[in-house]
Amino acid sequence: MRLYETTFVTDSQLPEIEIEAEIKRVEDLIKSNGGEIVETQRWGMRRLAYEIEKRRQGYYAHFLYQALPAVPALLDASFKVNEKIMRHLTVVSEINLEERARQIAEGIAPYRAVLPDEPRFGGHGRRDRRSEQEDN
Amino acid sequence: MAEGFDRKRRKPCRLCENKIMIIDYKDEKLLRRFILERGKIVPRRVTGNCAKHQRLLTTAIKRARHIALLPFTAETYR
Repeated sequence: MRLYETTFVTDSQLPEIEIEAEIKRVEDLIKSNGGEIVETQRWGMRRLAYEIEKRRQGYYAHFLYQALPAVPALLDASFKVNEKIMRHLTVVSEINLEERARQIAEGIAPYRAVLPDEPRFGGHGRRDRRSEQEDN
Repeated sequence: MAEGFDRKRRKPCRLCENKIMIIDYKDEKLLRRFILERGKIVPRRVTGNCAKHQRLLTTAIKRARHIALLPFTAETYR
């Protein structure tokens, strides 16, 4: 068994019951194939970084689970034929479960990288100045 | 930066300095620091990232783009 992470984005216009049904469907698919769900996160309605199928918002759900390699393949196949799912992504998780459990026990929010605050990189490079000119 | 205009001085890899071993595609706040306003990934020669971290970053950014957490490019408007 391996640890996987799957995220999907559904149409923002779907009624909540249908979104819940989709989440349940994914969970059931994982469980019925011998997988074990560690956590299901509902990120909820979020603004999309770009328009997808004429929508600017999407509902995000994220699953962290242990399963055999066949399971993500099954999930992907089911997402592909499901028109309610606009985007989906499955990756082999790099989360260390023991460390995560410890973090939760200590009350620290699970892993987030922290860098000291510094300004973002602006368009100062030679190349970037050129590409900005192209915009005008 | 602290090194001023000394061109020979290599910029330190910020991610190494802070001992960041995993770069998560869900970590939008971190990733946003390494993309330009237009959505482009900032090159290593600008950020001073080491090869390893730059590689982890690009993978994470591309994953985040796929699920629309980050833009591929700035929105065209008007």
